Amino acid sequence: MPSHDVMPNMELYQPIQVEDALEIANRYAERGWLVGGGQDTYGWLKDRAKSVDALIDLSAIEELRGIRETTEGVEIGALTTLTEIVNSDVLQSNFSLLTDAAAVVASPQIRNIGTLGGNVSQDVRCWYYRRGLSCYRAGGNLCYADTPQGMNREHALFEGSRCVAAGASDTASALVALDASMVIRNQNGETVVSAEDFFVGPANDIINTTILRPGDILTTVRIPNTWAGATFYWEKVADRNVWDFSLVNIAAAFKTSDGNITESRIVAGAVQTTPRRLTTVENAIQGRPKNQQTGESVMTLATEGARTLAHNGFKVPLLQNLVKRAIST
Amino acid sequence: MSRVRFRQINALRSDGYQGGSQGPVTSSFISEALAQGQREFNWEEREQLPRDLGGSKRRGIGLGIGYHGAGGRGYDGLLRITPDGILQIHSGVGNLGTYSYASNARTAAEVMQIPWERTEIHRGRSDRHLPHSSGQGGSNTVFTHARTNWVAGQDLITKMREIAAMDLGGEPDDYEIGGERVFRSDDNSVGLTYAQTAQRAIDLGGKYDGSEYPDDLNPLTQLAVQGVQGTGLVGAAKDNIPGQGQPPGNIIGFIEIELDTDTGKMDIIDYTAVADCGTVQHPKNFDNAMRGGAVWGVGLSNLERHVYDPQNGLPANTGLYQSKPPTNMDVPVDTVSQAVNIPDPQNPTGGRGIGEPTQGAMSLLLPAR
Repeated sequence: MPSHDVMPNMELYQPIQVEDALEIANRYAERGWLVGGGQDTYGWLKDRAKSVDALIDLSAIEELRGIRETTEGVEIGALTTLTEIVNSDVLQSNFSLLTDAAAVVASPQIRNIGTLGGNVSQDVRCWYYRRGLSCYRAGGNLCYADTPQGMNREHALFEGSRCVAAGASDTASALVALDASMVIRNQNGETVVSAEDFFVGPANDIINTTILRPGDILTTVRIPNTWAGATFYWEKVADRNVWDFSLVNIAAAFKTSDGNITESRIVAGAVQTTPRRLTTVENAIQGRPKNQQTGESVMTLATEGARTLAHNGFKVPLLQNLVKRAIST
Repeated sequence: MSRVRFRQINALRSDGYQGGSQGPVTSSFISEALAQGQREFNWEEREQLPRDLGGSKRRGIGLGIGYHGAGGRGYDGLLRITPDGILQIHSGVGNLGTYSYASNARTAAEVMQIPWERTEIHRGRSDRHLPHSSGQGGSNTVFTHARTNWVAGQDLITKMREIAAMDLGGEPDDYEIGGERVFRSDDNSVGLTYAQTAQRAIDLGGKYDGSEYPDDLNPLTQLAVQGVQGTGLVGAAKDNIPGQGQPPGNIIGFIEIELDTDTGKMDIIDYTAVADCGTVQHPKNFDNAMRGGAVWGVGLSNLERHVYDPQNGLPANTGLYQSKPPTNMDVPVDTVSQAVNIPDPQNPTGGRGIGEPTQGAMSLLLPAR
């Protein structure tokens, strides 16, 4: 696999208004590439595993930055850096699930430049795919990972469909648990979709991990007050304590009354291409005490339907244990 | 039997044998290192502490031994005193980033009793007239090139005494060195400065200025001597110091970990390492090697991933982040690094190397229980 020190030749656009960015994105369509912090982008381009005609750098569009309180909740510009999210008082006060998740993305240096929009829009990290092999996701006709000899320790337990790559975003799990919605603009106007519907698995789209299409720009993430101040649990398990992707992560939100769970959201990351909401577990704990006994009694529900590959079987007990801890803690 | 005692009984000793060929060693003090480490780490006390920390956390302690052949013999040393009185030290040792060529060069300064500021090192390119030297692989050069610098220094001293006896009378054995001079032992006012001996060597030629040199020098060293011929008093010698055996680099390590049985994640709570590497030559470099090697050992045994797809013959590590070398968040902030500091009898300055085994000791520790 060739590696290059310099960027390939391409046009560079640095618009300062969303409207201009939309026009350029629409004009170049699939031959254009939106870049925010660039932490997913530059690896692809420098490795020549993907190529484009134009790079559309969104980082100068101030409108896409910042955290704003609204009557319905909080709006976060898609170009807001992960560090800014971690340091936000309003998010720490009401939605610490997101700040906890953002705080363990990659490394401090990457969080300083990586954006929320980029984190949720990033491509999967299957190493076969990232090295430029012609797998299903890259337009080919086979999956290198889902074979008896495939090296698939980091890959998915659920929803494999030709592709078994796991999602790489930590904040995605938190946003789904918080019932966030995503604001998408293109030249035809604005669309708002739930975070749960924003992410797309390979059964529905083998190439894309989100519903974003050429010409679309994710401008804002909205978090409603629904879960403000709830009891949250976040945990990420990775090989290293910094600069690593999740092997499994868990994002959970609980509302309780007299120690009993009245409502919950439990979302697992890195177990399939999209954040996996564990509705079976959520239903099973409804009305039950939020304690270890409840956690232990439902933990196996979290992995019902899991299909392990040659090297990722450890994710089954890991996911079960994280669900147990989320409910017990 | 305690795990420490078991290793003390079985550990390599100075009269022991090592490797596939079961050759002798120059010296080995692993048992002493184990005893020192056991005290420093409070092994016996820690072994009595509970292993179950509550919930999913378990405590483990472990120890390991790292070994690596740490040096060779038979290479060449090349030194010069130039008419300005500077000691010119020539070294063919490479630099992996440890700068051992410089720390080993201090042997020459020590032998010649000359301040470090009055020396100059020549290295890095063969047109700087470098002697035949060992490669720098981690632990190799401390033993190997302390010896070459020592023998070349002895050659310089011998020639200085001869020049002094020639010019000032008496026998070479009547003279000794000190204060950048060679002088009569019974009257230190009678002598020559190093600078004067260098000028006299140029005047005398022959073996003194490098026009002649020993036949047993490696051809590469012979070329180097030819390159410096006539520039001062030249000391060139092959390491023929008597003795046999492999100089071992030994290290023991003690570790305490906390394991989360829910997640498989492990935190290193404490790490104490004691090296048996003879006399420590360069305390700061020693400390760097000990800590750096330990971090590397954490990566090799617990974090780093060198994955190949056996079906397609493809390496998975297409980016540094996929290789997962340890970060500062994966190792303890503080570790203890000590040395037994018993001199090796076959190195005039007492040192043996300690590079690679620092990784091995940490790797062996990870099955802590």
